[in-house]
Amino acid sequence: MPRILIVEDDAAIRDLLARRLTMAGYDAIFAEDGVRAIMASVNAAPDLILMDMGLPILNGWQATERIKKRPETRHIPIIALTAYALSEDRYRALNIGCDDFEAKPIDFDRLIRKIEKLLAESSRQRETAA
Amino acid sequence: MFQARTTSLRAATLKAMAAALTALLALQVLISEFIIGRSFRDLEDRIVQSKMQQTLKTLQNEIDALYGNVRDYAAWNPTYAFIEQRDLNFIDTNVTTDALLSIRASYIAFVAPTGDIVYARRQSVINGERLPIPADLLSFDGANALFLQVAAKNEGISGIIIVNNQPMLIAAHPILTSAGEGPSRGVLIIGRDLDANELARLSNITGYNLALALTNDVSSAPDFAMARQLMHRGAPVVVRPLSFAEDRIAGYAQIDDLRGGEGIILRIDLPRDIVQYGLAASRYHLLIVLVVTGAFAAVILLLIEQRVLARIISLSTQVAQIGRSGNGQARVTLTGNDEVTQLSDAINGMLDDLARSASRLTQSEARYRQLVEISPEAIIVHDGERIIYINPAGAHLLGHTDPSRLIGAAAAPFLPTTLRRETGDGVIRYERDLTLPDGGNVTLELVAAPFVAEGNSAWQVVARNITERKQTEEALRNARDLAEEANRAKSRFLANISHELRTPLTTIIGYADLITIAAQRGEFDRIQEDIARVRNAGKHLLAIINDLLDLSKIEAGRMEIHVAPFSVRTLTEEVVASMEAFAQSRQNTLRLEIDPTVGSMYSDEVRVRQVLYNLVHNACKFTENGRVTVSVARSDPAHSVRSNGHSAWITFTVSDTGIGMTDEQIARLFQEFTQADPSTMRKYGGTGLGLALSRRLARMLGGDITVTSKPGAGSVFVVTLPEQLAHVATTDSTPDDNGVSTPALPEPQGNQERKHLILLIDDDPAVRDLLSRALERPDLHIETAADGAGGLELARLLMPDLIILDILMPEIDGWTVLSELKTSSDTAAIPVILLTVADDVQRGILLGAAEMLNKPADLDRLERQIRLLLNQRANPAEAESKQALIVEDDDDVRDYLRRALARECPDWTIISVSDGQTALDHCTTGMPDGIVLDLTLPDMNGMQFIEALRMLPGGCSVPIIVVTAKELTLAEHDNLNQSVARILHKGMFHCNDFVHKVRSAIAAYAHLQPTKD
Repeated sequence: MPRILIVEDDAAIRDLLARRLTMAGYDAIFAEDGVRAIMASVNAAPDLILMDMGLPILNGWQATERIKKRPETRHIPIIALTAYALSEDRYRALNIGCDDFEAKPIDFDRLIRKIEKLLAESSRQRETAA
Repeated sequence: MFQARTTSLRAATLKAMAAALTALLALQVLISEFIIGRSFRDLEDRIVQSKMQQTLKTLQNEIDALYGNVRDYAAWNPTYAFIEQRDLNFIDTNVTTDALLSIRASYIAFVAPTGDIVYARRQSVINGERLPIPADLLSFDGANALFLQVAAKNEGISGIIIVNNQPMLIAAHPILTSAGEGPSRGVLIIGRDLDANELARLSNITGYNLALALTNDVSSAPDFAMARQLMHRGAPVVVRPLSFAEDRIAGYAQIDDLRGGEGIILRIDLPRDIVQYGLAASRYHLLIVLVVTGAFAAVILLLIEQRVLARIISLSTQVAQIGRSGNGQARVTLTGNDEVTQLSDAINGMLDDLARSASRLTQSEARYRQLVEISPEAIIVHDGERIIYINPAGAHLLGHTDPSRLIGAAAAPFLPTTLRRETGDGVIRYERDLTLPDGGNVTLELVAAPFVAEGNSAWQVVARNITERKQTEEALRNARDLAEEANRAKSRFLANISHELRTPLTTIIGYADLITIAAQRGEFDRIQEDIARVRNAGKHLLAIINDLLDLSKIEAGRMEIHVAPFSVRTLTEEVVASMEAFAQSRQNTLRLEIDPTVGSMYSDEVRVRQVLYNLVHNACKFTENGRVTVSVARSDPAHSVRSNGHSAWITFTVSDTGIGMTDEQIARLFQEFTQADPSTMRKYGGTGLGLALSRRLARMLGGDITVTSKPGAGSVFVVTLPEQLAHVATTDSTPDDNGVSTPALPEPQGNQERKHLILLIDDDPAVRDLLSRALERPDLHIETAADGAGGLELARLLMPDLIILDILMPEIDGWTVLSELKTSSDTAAIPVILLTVADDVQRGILLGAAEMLNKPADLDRLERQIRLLLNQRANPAEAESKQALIVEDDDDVRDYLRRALARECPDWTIISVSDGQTALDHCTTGMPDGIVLDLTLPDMNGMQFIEALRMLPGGCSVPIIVVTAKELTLAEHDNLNQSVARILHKGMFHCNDFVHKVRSAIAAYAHLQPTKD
């Protein structure tokens, strides 16, 4: 069961995401701020991260940069989830290393398609690496 | 100068004349001397020569005659015989003295061929006296042997011989028979002395003066010596002037001795008549030429002097005088009609031109001087150091009134300092700051052009005071910067708003999906919780939207204040209570301290609550594990710092122990669209509007918000509001809030005896209680019903003037009640105000509601609506049949407006059209009682329609209600307000409001036109 780390400070949205991902057959774990997100990305070894950008302490941009810099976490695909929905926000997210971008309000069907696609790509990469 | 030139002209003329005369005379002299004189001398020479020949020929003739005498004697037989016989008788007979005198012979000799003298005699030619025979003639040997050869050769000779230094003519002939036959017996010689007498005789014969000299003895006369020398050079005859006087000319010829040896030089001399006459003639000619030429020259000179020189000199003197005097009107005068006069005319013409152009120049100078004098720009001429000229504007710029006092002052104020631009022609443009004597500072824009004045370089400068322009530019730049900053803030705000709207929407949509899924699966265990989350997110969204709307109302100046008394304590407690949960969620303790003197306020409760809520919410949001304290106090007017003279102040203080703010953050705190720090926006969320909105509201309520804070030490927000808000107009002076006003409520009708009966149908006892108390008015009476059935029953029973109906009721809901009321003919005319949380305006209108108000009810608005509806029922005249015209191109809106009007005013004729021209056509055929006009029409804009309408007969007073979605500028608003009755903004009014406005506008119009009914 692929494990997905949900980084989100809004409890309602966290709950919402967790329940939809569970329904879709994923194991959901949580982090509420940027610091915990980085720690979880190392400790819990998630297969994918859903990252809100407006986070306390360290924001999503900062957390993503750090995760993508660490060798042991660099391979983890990150989908940016943000209510900053302008095209430059999208560009910025992809530019700092996010693998994909999803604007709020979330279209769950599309989000799950993106998750599946990224997980398939990363497992293919692991196989070729092995 | 002129004088010197004319003098030299005269002298030159004289010199030229003299030179020409001299040359002419020299030529004449040359000709007479060398050509005429020589010719005369040549002629003289030839004449002398020919006379010389003539003389020599005469001498030869004498010799020939002597020879004839000799021959006669020699060839005569007696002579021949004498020699033989030597008979002296012969001599006595034939050779007598007289015989010899007749032939003027002075010597005779008969000589035998042996040389023996047979007979010889010498006698004087004058008297025949015997003279001794010279020795030279006594022997005939030697040179005289020549004579013997005469006999031998039988041939005679003749010539001249020199005997005793005396020339003698001599002839010799052989002695023969008379027949001339020989043999010769000797020779006969006869001679004649060539003495002075003989010479005189020859002179007489020839007519010339004769003289002679011996060739070997010329010392006696120097002229002979000279002639002899010339003869030695080969000239046979020499011609020379005789003496120094040269009045005689002499010719010389040499005759040699017959025997050889030197003989004599014969001279003739003549007066020099020819040469002297010729030369005299030549000299007379020369003299005549001289005299004629001199006279001619004199005449020419006179003419030139009179006709040319004198007049030119006069002309030049006059011109020089005019030049010296500078009199532009003076002219030269000269009589005559020749070229010199023409010259003077030409000079006069030039003087005229000069005078005219000088006059033009003077006028032009005066004009330009005037221009310069009246120029509002400062005009300065300076030489780089001193001012040469300055106009009044320039003097004024420097704080002087008299420009002449500045001449010579330092030009420094107008010199370039640093900044300068040079154009190609040497003109420089620059700006500089200048401190005036009175201490003021101005900025000048200057243009300076160089020129040369009387050999010195100088500058002409135009200076303009651009201080105001600079200030304006500065202000514009600032305004632009502000506008750009505002624009950037707005962009940031939009991005943030998007974020803030999307966050709750995420929750709403997400949970809605979950609920859908749960419903499909029949799993309802968590559904309550999910719905609560949807509602909470929705509320949050609503709060944001309300903030935005409030702010937009303030921005547009349409925020309304509803003043009413309320309890400060209650309000504060409610706010704090509602915030308790939020404070706890962030581990904050929330405390409330209320001063006992605080009672009630007379202000806008909704807005005060909003401000307080915002501040407490902020305090809790930015504080964690801390303390938030709300305290309320009342200050007496006497002690108030911010006294407006008539009210006490209520002070709300919200202090926290949160993150605090820097001074810079505080400075930006109350600006719209910005939070203290963009990062805190992401961290803490929020619209960034709360504080800006709160301050605006506080100011509208006559107070203000102040803040003190330090980073990490928490913040203290203080709201100070007047206890009694009496004069709304004084609440806020910012231009944005100029639309703030308390709408004028219709005053209760003067008739106190009749009360309006209002039926309130609501299942909520609290609402029934609240509204009953809130609408407690002398002219109103409220009856209540607790449910739909009871309400219907009461309505039918009491026939109230108005019904207030709650929609959400158990059993029979408001919709059902409404339709029941409207279907029953008894109750159909009763206006119904719906109280609802559902915003289903369309349905309400369809069912015939007069007004729809949201719950919780805005009491002022409710009362206003009640008054309006009651008024309409009290004035049935307004409900008379009217004609209304709706001009609106949007089909939906047009239909909505038409139905709203038709429902409320069933007696009205309602015409709706979609464009301006059709509307105008309608108005031409029959003017309606009122027009509802959309400002944006397909064929013309609203203003054009209004203008066209006002031109139609009766069209100038038709009330127009403008309905527009367009944001109007202030100018457009003012413009419209002058020509239309009402302006309504689409989406900002309720249908009953609209109908009411149309009605009242038409009613007002009807009052103005009482004769129409």
